Parts: sequence; structure tokens; C-alpha cells
Amino acid sequence: MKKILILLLLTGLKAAAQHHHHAAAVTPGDTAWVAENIPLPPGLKGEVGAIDFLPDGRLVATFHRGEIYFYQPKTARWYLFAEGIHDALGIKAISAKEILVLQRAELTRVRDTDGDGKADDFAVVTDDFGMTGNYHEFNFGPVADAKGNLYIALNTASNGAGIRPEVRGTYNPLGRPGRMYSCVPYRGWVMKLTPDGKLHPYALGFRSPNTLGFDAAGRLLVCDNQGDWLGTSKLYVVKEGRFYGHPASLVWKEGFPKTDPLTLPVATLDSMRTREAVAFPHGYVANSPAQPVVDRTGGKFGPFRNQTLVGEMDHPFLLRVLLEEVGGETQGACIPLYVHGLRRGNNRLAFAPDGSLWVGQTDRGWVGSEGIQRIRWTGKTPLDIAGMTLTSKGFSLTFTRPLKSAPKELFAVKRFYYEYHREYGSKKFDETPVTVTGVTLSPDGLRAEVTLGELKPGYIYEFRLGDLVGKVGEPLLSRLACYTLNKVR
Amino acid sequence: MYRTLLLLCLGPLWAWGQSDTTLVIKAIAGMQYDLPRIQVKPGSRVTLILENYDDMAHNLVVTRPGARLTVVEQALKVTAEKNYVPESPLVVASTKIVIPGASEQVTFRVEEGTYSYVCTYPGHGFIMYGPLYATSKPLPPLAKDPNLAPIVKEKLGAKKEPAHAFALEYPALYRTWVPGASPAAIVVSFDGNSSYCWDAAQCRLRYAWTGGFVDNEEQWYSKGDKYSKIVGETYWKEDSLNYPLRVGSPDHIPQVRFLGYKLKDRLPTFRYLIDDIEVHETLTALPGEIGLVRRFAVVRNPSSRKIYFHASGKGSFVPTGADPAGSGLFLAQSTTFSLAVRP
Repeated sequence: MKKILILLLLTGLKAAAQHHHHAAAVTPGDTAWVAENIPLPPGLKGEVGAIDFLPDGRLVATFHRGEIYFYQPKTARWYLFAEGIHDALGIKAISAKEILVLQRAELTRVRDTDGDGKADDFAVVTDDFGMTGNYHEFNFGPVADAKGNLYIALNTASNGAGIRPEVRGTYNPLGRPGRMYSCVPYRGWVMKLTPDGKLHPYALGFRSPNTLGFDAAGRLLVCDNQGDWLGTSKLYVVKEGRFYGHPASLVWKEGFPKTDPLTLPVATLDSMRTREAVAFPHGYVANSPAQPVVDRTGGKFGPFRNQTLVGEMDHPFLLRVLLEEVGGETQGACIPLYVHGLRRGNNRLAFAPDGSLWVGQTDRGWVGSEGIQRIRWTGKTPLDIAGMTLTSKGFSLTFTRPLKSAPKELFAVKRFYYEYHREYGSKKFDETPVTVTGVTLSPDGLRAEVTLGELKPGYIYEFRLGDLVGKVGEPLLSRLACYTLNKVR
Repeated sequence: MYRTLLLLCLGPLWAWGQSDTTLVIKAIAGMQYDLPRIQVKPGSRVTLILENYDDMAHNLVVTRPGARLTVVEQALKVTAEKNYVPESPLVVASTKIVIPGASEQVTFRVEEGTYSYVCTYPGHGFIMYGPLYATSKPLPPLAKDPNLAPIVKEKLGAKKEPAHAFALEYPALYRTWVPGASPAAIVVSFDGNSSYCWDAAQCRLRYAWTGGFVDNEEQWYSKGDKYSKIVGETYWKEDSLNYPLRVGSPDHIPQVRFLGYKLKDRLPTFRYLIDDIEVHETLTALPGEIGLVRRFAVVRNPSSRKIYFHASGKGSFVPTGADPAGSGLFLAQSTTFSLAVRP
């Protein structure tokens, strides 16, 4: 098994290197962020469900076989807190004596009431949603907004399996057809739990919303996975009442006609949906994007302050997403973040109080790996893309360090789109090179204004940068940036 | 493809019928094919039909002996449009990408040697593969076959690893999926021998068994579509038509709501509402015999409503008191009452 991991790792690094336009020798970026392995208790199956940090600085992690552990980084010691939990894919640490855990059947408040360090009370916070026993009905979250509301997301079921003879919740046969389905409430929805304990349907149209996070601007972000109705994986900005495109969950929308949503014309569904803020091109950027977290370390994790990072299951790198408001909606770019020694299966992320980023990995039935890694910034700022914003004529790229020069030949741009349709995934459509008409570098070398021959809404604009170098000859780390252009300025 | 056709044309005509082999191979959940390995005669013309039973897309690529890893690495550079199959002489045959629920077949010819069949969808090829032996010689025993995918070896591993990093202590509790209950089931074992299933969706005891606890291996190993297995013999099952607790009148079946449970010395006490009445239920083993005792405590009864217990099946109500309605219906005379459940 160890051999396989190493193999995966080596191949992963190789694959990551190949994503650079010119597979240059080792770049400083390869050592700007370094992952170290956190040893698990011997005998623990390291399939991580969720991770978070306690106010006292300890890590709390859930594992596939029902364990909840605390980990003290200072002493590298593990403490078993609870057992018997079912597939907890979401966790929110309140204190060392109180953890919110989202398991298969419910959101549970797990408490240690007698102070012996072990959980002894498991109280239902909400179980006001359906479940059929279909394996794909995963639950994600919770995340809290500033007003103390909690948000969770409910995965649809998969026709890779049926439903159990006994289900919880009202069965609706109209939600049963399709590859991913929603035959009990409120599968395919994001739900809002108000402080009075009531669970409200909040937004719908999700397929596999793994998982939620608030960004620095207070936007509720949810990643969703390529599959039926998702030509590629996406990141949504979730707003109340909106429909995000996967039709099965429509059967639980108030006032929706008593019909199988799959009978609606695609054009109708398309007109109803809110588009993604970021599409992650399938295969080379993301196959299964996971948890979004914000770098609030104030520079302890490097130059990307307040930016959102997203985990990725199939690749040994993380993703950064850069969002902006254009025409009243959010859209933006995704850029890989290379981490030396990172494994795959990066499903869960949490920042420690010391500014290191912890990653919980899993591979349950899909691509990935197992265990926990801690990513540290070495203190070296690599030359990298810091920001990407849309202008009226193209894009403005900012950099972490001054560029020596920005010849336009080193900016290769193309555009394409993925189809919104019932089929599983999508090929790229209308993939076309875009002419770079000019690149203007600011006097300080930190900003390149790229003007393009055309800007066409509804396309992903993919930038591949060549051998740009900094003032002291340092090479550029991330050379791939994909901007989802829903609207032009 | 042309090469394959050419080979076929050169092959002796008489041998075709005898050495043709058609096999169905399934892509199944957990990044694997259902066949751990394949054996065919050298020189035969093989047709593999890939059926995708998984919930993600796969392909099937047959690679030259010893070439699997190289092909898998080559495939990382290939786009989806080309089905993640590199144009390489190391590839003997390949299917297109097969989406869930679909199937696709390939036909190719093999000479003596150990080929591989592998899914080259990005990342899959390191995990999802198997050896294709074109040989008439006997194969090594499956458990000792070095060419199997690690995931298959793991499955064959005779030595069972402990489930956790700690020895399971009893009483023990798992939230898991078991037959004969809702997906919100809870299973508890007092001692690894006497066990029960209590259903949090219905707030009731569903069944009890003896002779073991649960085997979670398939539930854990699969994506979750397999049940935890009940280990032992079920000696008691609820009467599914009769919810045992009645409120106000013997006929009124209350609305239930699960509130949670508390562990004391690892033994759970379940909390739930029957209408507006909060009930706590603790189950304990009957010492020295097969069976258990259900102890109920009414901790909140705002309207002081009467509570009845419908003891369907075999059971004995404690304290033994009046049976006002006959046929196993008891009126709870105090805020605590209990019921013994025996085979």
C-alpha cells in the first residue's frame, strides 16, 4: 500500500509538472508550500470524513468507521473522543466538549457532559430531511453565517444503487427517475437551519454538493461534481431560492408542478438555472472539487490573503478561486496551487491557529488517498498569479512579485464551453484560440493588462502562461488560469 | 485496429472457432473490475465486453506484457476526446469511455504472455486493473498472484485486521445500515453476544439477536451500498403493525421524534417524544438467559396523559398489573415501567 502511495505521489508530481507549459526544472514554487504527513494511530483506517480545529488548537477529525479523534499537534498525540458515528462528512467544533457532527441520519450535537474527555451525549440538532439508504445520499456541512444560521447540503441518490425497503421521509416517485435522483425531501438542496432549530429549504439544483464554505466576502460557496447535468465540476455562489441546474430536486420546490422534472425541455431548465461562478475544466484542473476554505491567516500561509482555496480529490494539488462581481453576479477564475509532497484525495481542509493548512484525505470508492497532511508555507513567496479580474477588453493579471517583462507571445489564451445537458459530463465545445492583441505591464511589474481579440460570454477563458520570469530571473509557478466568463463588463 | 485485423487474417482459419473467447467484465464500485484476473489460451482471439456497473465512467485498455504503468502514465497526457487512450504500440486494444450503465466491447488477439487490462481514466490506472494471462500453464493460486491489483489482494487477505485502532469495548454502538430497519438504525451490543437494533426514525426496538454483533466490513468497504451484517440469530422481532406505545387511549398511536441518546458506562439511553411526552428508554441484557429488558421513564408529560404499552409478541410487562384491554395491552401505572423481551 505504501508503495502505491509513493507511486501515486511520484506520478502525481510528474503530472503536475506536465501541466506547466514548459516542464522547467524545479521551480521555487515546488518548495513554497510543503506537505508533511501526520501519523495516524496505528490500526486506524485513515479515511477522513471531516476536520476542524478546536478553540484550544487541537485538531478534530472524523473517520469512516465512526471514530471522532482529537489530535494535539504539540505532542503528536491522538485522543479518541467518540465512536459509532455513521459517515460524518461534516463537522463544526464548538469547544473541546461540544462538536457538531453531520452524519448520515442527522446533524448531531456530540458532547462530553462529565468532563472525562469522551463524548457521552448525542443530541439531534436536526434530522428533518429524508434518506432512502442509497449510498450516495451524503450530507455536507454545517457552515455558519454571521447571524448564527447553519447551512447543510444534501446529496442526491445515485442509480448506481436503489433505495431501501424502508425510507425516512415522504417518497415522491416523480423524483425517482434519472441518474442522480431525489425521491425523498430535500435531496439536492442546500438547507438552512435557523437558531430556533427549524430546517428550511434554501436553494436547489445540486447534484453532489461536496461541500460548503463561506468566503471572505460572506458568499456561500458550494462545489458540485461533474456528472449528469454538470458538463464539468463547478463552484456556485448560493443564494436563497435559486435553482442551480440539476433537475431532480425540483420535485421538492414549493409550487413546482406535479411532474417529473426530466420531462421539461433542456432550454426551460437552462433558463431557470443560475450559472456557476467558476467552472473547473474536467480532468486537468479538477475531477471532484471539494471543500472551500478561506486563507484568513493574515499572511502566515503566504501571499494569498483572504483568497478561497478548494480541495480536489483526483489531483495532488489544491485550487485557488478568485471571485469578483460582474453585472450583479459572481464569476471568476481557478488556478492550481502546487504543494510539494501533497497526496490526492484532498477532500477536507482546515486552517490551524498557527496558519498551517491541514488536509483530510479519503478514497472511499473513488480516486484519492488516505490520511492527514499538514501544509506549511516555507516563507518564500514564489512568482505566481496573485489575482485575475475581467476588464472591458480582456483581463488584468496581478502577480506576487514583479515581472521582468510581459511579452504577449507568452500569453496563450483559448476559450471553450461545456454543455448543460442530461448526459454525464460533456466534451469541450467550440474550443477556439483567442488572439492576444496586447499586454501592458505596469511600471512596478506587478500588473499585466491583457487585451483580447474578443470576449464572448458563456465561455471559459483558459490562460496558459509561458516562461515569464521575475525581476531576479525566478520562474513563474502557476501557469494555468481558467476564468468563467458568464458576463462581460 | 488494423493490426488486429491483420493478425486475425494471418491466423490459421481452422483455429478461429476453437480459440475464440468472449468474456463479460464489469466495472464495479470501489475502483475495480469484477474479474480479479483472466486466463485465455495463447493465440486466441479474445472479446471482452465491459459493462459499467459503477457510478462513474471507466474504460478498458489491454496493454502489452509489462506495459501497464507506462500506458497509464502516457494516458495522463491524453484528452477525454481520445478516451484517455494513448496512441501507443503498448496498447493492444481499448474501449471508448463507458459511462455508467453502458457497455462496450473489444476484440483482440493475444500471444503467450501476461497482459494487463486496465482503466486509463485519469488516476484510475494505478488501482483498477488485472492480469490477462495468455497461457496454457496453471496460474499461481489467487491469494499468491503477484499481478493482482492491490485492492483485490486486500480483499483476498486472509488475515483480518482489527476494525479500529482500539479493541472494541462493550457495550458498543454503531449508527449503520442494517436489514429490517430504516436507514436511521442504531445497533447496540451489550457484550458482543446479545445485541439489538433500535430505530431512530421510528423510535422503537426493531429486533434483537444473540450470538454476535455486526460485521461492518461490507458496509465500510463499499461506498455504503452494502448492509452491515447481523452476526448471530434473531430471537425477537417487533410487530411492525403495532407501535407499542399509545397515548391518551389504547388506540392512539403517537407521533414520534427522536431526540438523541446518552451513554452511561457505554450503555445508551434513548430520548424521544411520543406526541408531547418525553420518554427515555434504556435496554439492558437479561443476565444468564437470552433476552433483554426495556426500561421506560416518562420524564415529561405536560398534559398528564395516560400511556399504554402494547406488548405484542412474546414479552412480559413489569410491574405486572392490570391488563385493561386484554391482549397484551397494559396501562403504565407510574412514570417508570419495563418490559422483558424473550425468545
